[in-house]
Amino acid sequence: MRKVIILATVLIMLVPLAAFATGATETATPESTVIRFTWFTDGPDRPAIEALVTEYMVANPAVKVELSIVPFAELNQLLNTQASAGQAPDVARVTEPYRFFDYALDLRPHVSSGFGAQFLAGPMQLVTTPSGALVGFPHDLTMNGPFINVSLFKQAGIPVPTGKVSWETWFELASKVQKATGVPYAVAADRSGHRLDGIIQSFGGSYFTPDGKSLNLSSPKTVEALRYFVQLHKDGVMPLEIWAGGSGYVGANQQFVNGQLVMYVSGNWQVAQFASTIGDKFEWAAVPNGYNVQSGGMPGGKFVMAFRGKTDPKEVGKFIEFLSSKESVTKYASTAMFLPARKDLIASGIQYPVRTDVMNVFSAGLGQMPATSFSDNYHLKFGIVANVVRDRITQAISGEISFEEAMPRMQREAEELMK
Amino acid sequence: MTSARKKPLQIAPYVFVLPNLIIFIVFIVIPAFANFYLGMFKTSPIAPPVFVGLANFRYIFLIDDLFKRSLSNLFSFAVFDVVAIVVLSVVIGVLLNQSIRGKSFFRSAFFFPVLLSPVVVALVWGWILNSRFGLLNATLIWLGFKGQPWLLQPDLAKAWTVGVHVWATVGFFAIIILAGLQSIPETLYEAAEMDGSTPIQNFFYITLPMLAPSITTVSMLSMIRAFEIFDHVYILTGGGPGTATMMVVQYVYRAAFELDQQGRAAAASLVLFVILLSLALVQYILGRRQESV
Amino acid sequence: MSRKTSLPARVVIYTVLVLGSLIMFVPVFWIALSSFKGLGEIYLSPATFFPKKWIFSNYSEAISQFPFLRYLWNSIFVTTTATILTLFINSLAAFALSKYKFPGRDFIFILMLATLMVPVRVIMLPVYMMIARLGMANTLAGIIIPPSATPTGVFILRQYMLTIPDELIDAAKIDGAGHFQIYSRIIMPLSTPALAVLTVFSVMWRWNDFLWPLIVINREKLFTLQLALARFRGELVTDWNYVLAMTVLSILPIAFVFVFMQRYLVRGIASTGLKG
Repeated sequence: MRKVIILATVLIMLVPLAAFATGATETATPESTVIRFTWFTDGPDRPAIEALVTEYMVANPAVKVELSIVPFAELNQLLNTQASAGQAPDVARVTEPYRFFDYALDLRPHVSSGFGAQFLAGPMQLVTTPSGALVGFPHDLTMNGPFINVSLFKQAGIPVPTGKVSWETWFELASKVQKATGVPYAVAADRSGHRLDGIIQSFGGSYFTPDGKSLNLSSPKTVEALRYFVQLHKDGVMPLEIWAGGSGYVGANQQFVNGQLVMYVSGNWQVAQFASTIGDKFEWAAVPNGYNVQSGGMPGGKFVMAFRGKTDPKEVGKFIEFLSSKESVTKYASTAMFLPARKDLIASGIQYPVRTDVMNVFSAGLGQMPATSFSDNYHLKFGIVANVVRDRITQAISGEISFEEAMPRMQREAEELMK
Repeated sequence: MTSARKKPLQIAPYVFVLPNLIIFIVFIVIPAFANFYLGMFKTSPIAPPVFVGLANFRYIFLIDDLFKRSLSNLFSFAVFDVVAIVVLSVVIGVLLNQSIRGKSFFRSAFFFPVLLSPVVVALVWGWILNSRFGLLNATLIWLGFKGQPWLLQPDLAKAWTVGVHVWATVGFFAIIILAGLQSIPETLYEAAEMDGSTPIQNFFYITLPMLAPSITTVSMLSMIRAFEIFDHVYILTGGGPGTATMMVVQYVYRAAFELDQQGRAAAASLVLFVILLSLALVQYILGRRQESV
Repeated sequence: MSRKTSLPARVVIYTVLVLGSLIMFVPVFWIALSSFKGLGEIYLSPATFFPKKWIFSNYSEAISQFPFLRYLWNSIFVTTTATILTLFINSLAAFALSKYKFPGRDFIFILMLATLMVPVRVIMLPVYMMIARLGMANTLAGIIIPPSATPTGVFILRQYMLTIPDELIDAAKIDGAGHFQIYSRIIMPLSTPALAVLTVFSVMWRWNDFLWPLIVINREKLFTLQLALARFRGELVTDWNYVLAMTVLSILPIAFVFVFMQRYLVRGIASTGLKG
């Protein structure tokens, strides 16, 4: 029996022991500050951010920045879980900062007083909590817009229109080009409630009323745009495989890169990959968003935000200042081919390594969007409502329920989530 | 059961169970209860949780159409999945039990997909079934047929989610059946053959009845797995087209991490647990009755 | 089974088995071939079976983007220690549950089986909170310990141990063996087939584990190989050529273990209590 008791003691100790044995690395570097930095990548930004992190560590030998690259698909679950147990990373790249406001670090005491004023006011709103705390900064701006395969237009003998062109005209032309050239796809739009809103805006619709107090999904203009979008799939102008073919975000990069798609409604983040993978295979360009009653398009972007944790907030603030500095953002945006959100860089412009012409189309578009594009995108519930719209419209596109059935369900679910 | 039972109370078995039990309670039982408790709160990222009692259950059952839809998707998925697995595992098990050359090769071949993670399975099949870049349509076109939108048409997509899941798991169940087959005494067949019974008669009058316990195990385990399906389907179809293949765990996932409704997610997961538990109980009772007959 | 089968029956059996094996192998084989294609060819429609041009840089480029050896080591370390831990505590519990009669035994067993019905995905958040409270967040222990008390493992081992004759235990007792000696000298050696099965499963589960390590670990130096596969899946752009190459790389070790253990595995499952 004594043996048994000894064994029991050993076993009970084994569990925490094992934890300490492998957990030893946790406290292995007491000398230096460790900043945990969680990142998801869109491809070209990966080398850019890695270079910046290395640069920071060379300049600050006492600080170790641990960069973990995680898949976007799991980002929200990951941060949510870690944060709710008090284990959030110190700094993270996110798309919807408000989801983590509860766990965010107020940077105001740790950064210079003019910090927030360096960035565009719209995106800054999204990293400002209702109580006024500043939790991060807009790292880059994105701008939605269509790409076209210019070679296909030429092959079909159809000139590329200029000026204020409605979405209908664009899509009709693209269909004509598709028929003339025999490629499989006329138009594709990313499966995203955000991209969809860019088209809705041009019809004069929006997800929220301009004051942001209520939903605008059932307004006639929004409904008209949504109905048109569903019809595009019924008519075969847009392929089912993007909107009905997956969960979350689905893009049509593959189709466009292979020259099988005439027009692709996406955004500037595609430019770097297009430039490298399309090469000389065909001629492509970005064109302005459709203009029905007004210009369409949506701003967007990624944010870098700070979380409360054990790490010295002063060090986190310093790192944030570094990442957001004019020099860092210039390097970052030019390598990744993103648009900056810093006012000074927007004014001076950024020199991109290739296709500055394409990037200019997007920068120009930023100034033409309607006010509701901004109020929608910077609404705290935008991400959630955009997911609801996306999923409900998908149901109508796939023919699971009719458009008339989809609209009230969308409205009801969105209303429920506004509470 | 053992000679040890004569002692009134002993410490040894408790000590032996303890390490497993501690880990188990700390990391499975308590979290499961915590999760169910969370089902009675309304949660939001910008406000503290509020106790709402059964309101989340009311919402998912009475207001939200998607929960009901994911439930009905799940039931139809599970029925087809379990039936296909039971039938195919018996067929494969019987074939693998023949005295043929290359037996161990074939056994490995059928078991091989079991080794792959759900992510890999879904990735692989996602490419195969891709209507544009996939191997299946390329083969069909090569043979002179037309490619099909495999994952874009609701019924085809439903069928493929079952097909892919069966592909990934049937090898495991076939081996359980194989084990059952090997425990059937050879003498039974010899006796039947002397009475002039054909192989087909043998199958229905000897093999199947003797296999009943294995088939119960297979249907029980495959049912539990079918009801917990997530990664295979989520990565393959994303629950689409539309919501044609959205299952309950995906509903939970969407509520928790796409719509920030942890409380509702927890409520939905409790419903799933209750369903699974009652199905398992029913099966257990039926199995008992079968044995006692 | 040694009953003779007629020639036509044999032809049918072989045809079905060969076709079946093809269905099982070809998809993965095609993906392996595709991992040598360039991004352009991956996006070719209709798809090609063999690469037109073999591109090996998918592998070298994917690997060079992260510390491959460290991730590999972490994976091996986690898989090995977790498997040893699982085998040890599961077999101890199974021994108690199969060879002793004690108050609470059936309750413990049913409790374990009932948790098979809680999908791991839905309790991840509370499990993680537990880990964090115990100071195991961001440690390999956090990945290793929680999933080690598998109900499946206990079940498989218990069912098998039930078939071990009690006379052997009684005989050992007469020879003066203690409880732990009976476990280590009699039960464990006799349970080899079932232990082999659990080994394969445990290796497979831990090696393929993805979401749990991703959540527990947010220091890249503790990342496992599966997490590297995920890093190429961005929000807007996915580098499929790298993803495919990493997928193949992550399958290889498990396929190796399988080839090695294959004989034990089939025989093991065949002789475990899993037969119902």
